[in-house]
Amino acid sequence: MLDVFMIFSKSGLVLFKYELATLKGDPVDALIRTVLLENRSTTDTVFKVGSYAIKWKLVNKYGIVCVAVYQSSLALTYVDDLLENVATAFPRAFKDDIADATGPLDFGTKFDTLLFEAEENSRRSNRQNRAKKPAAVKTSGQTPENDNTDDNDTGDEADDDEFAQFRSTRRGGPRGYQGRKSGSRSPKSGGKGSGNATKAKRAWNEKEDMTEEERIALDVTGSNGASADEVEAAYLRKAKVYLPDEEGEMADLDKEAAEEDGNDDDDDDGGWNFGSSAVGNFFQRLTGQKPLTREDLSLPIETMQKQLQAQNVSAVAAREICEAVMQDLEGQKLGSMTRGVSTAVRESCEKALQRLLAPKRSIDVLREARAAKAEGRPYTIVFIGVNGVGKSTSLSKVCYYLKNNGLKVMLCACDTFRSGAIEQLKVHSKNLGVPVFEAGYNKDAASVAVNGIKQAKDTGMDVVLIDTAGRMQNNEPLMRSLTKLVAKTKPDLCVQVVEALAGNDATDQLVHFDKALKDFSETTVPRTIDGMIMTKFDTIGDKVGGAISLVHATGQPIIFVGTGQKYTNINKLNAKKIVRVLLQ
Amino acid sequence: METLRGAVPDALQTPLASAEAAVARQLGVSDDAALAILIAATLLAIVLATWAVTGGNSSGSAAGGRKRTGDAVVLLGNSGSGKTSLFYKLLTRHFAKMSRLADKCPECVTSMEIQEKRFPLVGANVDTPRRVIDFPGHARLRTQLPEVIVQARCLVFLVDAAAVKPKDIREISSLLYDVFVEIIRSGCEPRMLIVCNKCEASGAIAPEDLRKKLEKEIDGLKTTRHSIDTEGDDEMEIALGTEGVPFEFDSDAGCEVEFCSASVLEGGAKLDPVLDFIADAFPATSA
Ligand SMILES: Nc1nc2c(ncn2[C@@H]2O[C@H](COP(=O)(O)OP(=O)(O)OP(=O)(O)O)[C@@H](O)[C@H]2O)c(=O)[nH]1
Ligand SMILES: [Mg+2]
Repeated sequence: MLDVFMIFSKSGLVLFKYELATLKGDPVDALIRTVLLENRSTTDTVFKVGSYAIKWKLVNKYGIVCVAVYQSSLALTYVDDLLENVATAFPRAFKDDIADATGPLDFGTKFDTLLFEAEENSRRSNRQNRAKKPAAVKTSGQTPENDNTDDNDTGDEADDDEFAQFRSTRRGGPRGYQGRKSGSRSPKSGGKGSGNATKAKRAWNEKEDMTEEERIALDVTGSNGASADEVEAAYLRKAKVYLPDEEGEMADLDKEAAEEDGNDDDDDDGGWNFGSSAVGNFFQRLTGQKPLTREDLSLPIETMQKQLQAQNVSAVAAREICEAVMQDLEGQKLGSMTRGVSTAVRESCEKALQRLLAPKRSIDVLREARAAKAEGRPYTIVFIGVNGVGKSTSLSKVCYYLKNNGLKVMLCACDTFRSGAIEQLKVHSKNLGVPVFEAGYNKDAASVAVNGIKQAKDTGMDVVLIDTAGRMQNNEPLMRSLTKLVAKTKPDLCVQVVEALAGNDATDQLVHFDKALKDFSETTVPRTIDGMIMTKFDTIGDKVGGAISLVHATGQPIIFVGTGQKYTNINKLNAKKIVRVLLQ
Repeated sequence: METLRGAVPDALQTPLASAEAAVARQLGVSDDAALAILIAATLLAIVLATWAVTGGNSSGSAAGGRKRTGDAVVLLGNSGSGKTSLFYKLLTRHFAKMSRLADKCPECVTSMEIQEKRFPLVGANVDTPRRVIDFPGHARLRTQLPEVIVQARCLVFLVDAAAVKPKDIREISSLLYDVFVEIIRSGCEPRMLIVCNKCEASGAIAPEDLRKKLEKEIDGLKTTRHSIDTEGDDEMEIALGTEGVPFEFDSDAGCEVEFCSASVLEGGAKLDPVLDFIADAFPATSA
């Protein structure tokens, strides 16, 4: 059963809320923060957080988002339909009110109808599946009324009763239904003084219709033994009264909307209105009043996508960025003649890229290390990655950086696998003048790391940098042991070292490391990668797209880039420069 | 009158006689009447010019010096600090006064977009609506900070006073640091109010304590932020304050900073410090 249905504006105002159960925590905020704001909305259609599953739909034209929250243990088949229908009905009813709203809008009655229909539809198709009645295969376009009559014929009494019971407890029948209306729905605060009276009246009419429909619907479920004829008569009556009324209601509720729907366009707030003729559309487009359509945008966006890929942005990343640009611009108006479509695409793309590269939490390693020191514990960083990407080199650069800023650093040699690895670290340790903890080869890397951290604590070290064995992302035993190391050491920072050159390879590595850390983890909240170090950044010239692919693939920031052989060749990523190079 | 208005700037430059003759010719009146009109026009021009220099040019001009600022009230702060709630509170307060609606706090979720509206502020002249901008706290939007800062007449920086663990203080300081750097870079001088919002909640921090915590944390940032170079950077990095001298809001923020306690949720007197601050940013003379 649906726990919460919410409609809110992108600016953060809740425009409608249906609440059957109070949510624990803030799953909707979690959705916004981790999915909607990350521009990663196109890949997943369900977001799971805690015990909840959330589905959503963006209506860009009006800058609103519809969200349905339910227990993830339930398979609610009707949610997609409901979202779709609400996403059409809500803007249609409130198209002029959304921008000026200062609180919830009066959508409750209409929503209840839509929810009822969606539930009804899904119940019916469920039952058909169970009954395996070949004759009763329905198309989605069929109206619920006819289907209901049909249902009655199947004689699946138990199911009907169950449903009737469920519904009457939920709504308390027609009477309780009205009562609930004024009670549990959040009261509207109403932003507009004018026009409210007429709308309220219409809403009331609709409510009466609804009650009528409810009563009929309840009759149909057979609880008072109505004959098939009576039922059919009832439906005929309803089909005549309710359905056309519904249509008429719409037109009435918002004459403009209906008219403009005919014109297949509804933007008249720009001043000139040329109507729906081709000439009109042309002028509207010229003056920037015509909302951009997918067709207008597809060519310039395709060009943009090719340009990104030419600079090493992975195909997936380029496609998703461009889809985000499409979503951003579709339905928008250019506003002025000077701003062409391709400029708009460029600007939107620039924004998307900048957002992508902006870290979702600031990772200032020195500051975090100092904060840990203030708490009296060593700050730990684990370096992971495939063979030969420059893990030990990056580790020694970070060591140099932190030591130079007055911290006592210790290295910890947990590559107990590749011969020569410990010696290599010892060379760095000598060069840098820092101690190194080691326990020889063929030892359990996780326990070496744990002992190393303990020793660091005992000897008053501020930072422990843990070197791990390079491994291929598809080597399961080694990935398991890495997961164990990460779980045991609980590092402050888990960084993956990747080569800037590797392009799509590197993305693949990252995704697999991340996945392995998740899959092999025995804890409920697996520890995954916090960020990346990109090595050999000085060798790639203008092919900086790899940075985008990496950040896109993990959603984590690039903490440092390696720019040469020396200990001092470590820098912060220059996001501005990357975006500039990509779009030049 | 069209012609007269057009003639005023010229009239200030050209010799009086020719201007007088021009006015007489244009309007077909006697020379004496033309002189009177000319004097009136000149006075008007002087008044206009003075207005443009002092009040009209979006300047508070309290200290006598000219300040470069924008014309908007900008709401800043980390996610969940109450910006959107305040935004709608400011918006409905105006309507509430007109239509007896309760000015309650609407329900809000994390904002995804910068929101900007123009409306009259409480207590201020109804005929002069002001721009109010709600800048969401999510870090992904941080890159748009510069374009918003330059529009600010005043900045209201909200802090969730009930969530001030070391990690929160780090996040708040990080945003403040970015804001101050941007203020200095842009050369704008908006005034800033740092609001300990949710003051009615238990465990809410007092403004003075918050100030101390933030100063300490921002001082730490002064060294860590510039401890490592940005790859291929051609811009000069801007540092706050003086090296080796502890950061203080009063001397190093790049703009005037005040602190206060408030509750957007409860409103009433608990919102007054915020409303007063905003009203102060738009003195009556600056129309
Ligand atoms: N107790 C209390 N809660 C408040 C107060 N002001 C706002 N809140 C609540 O704080 C939460 C976050 O408020 P928002 O206005 O959405 O926060 P925001 O600053 O806009 O957050 P972002 O949009 O994510 O940047 C909401 O649940 C508000 O109801 C207050 O004065 N007291
Ligand atoms: Mg907000």
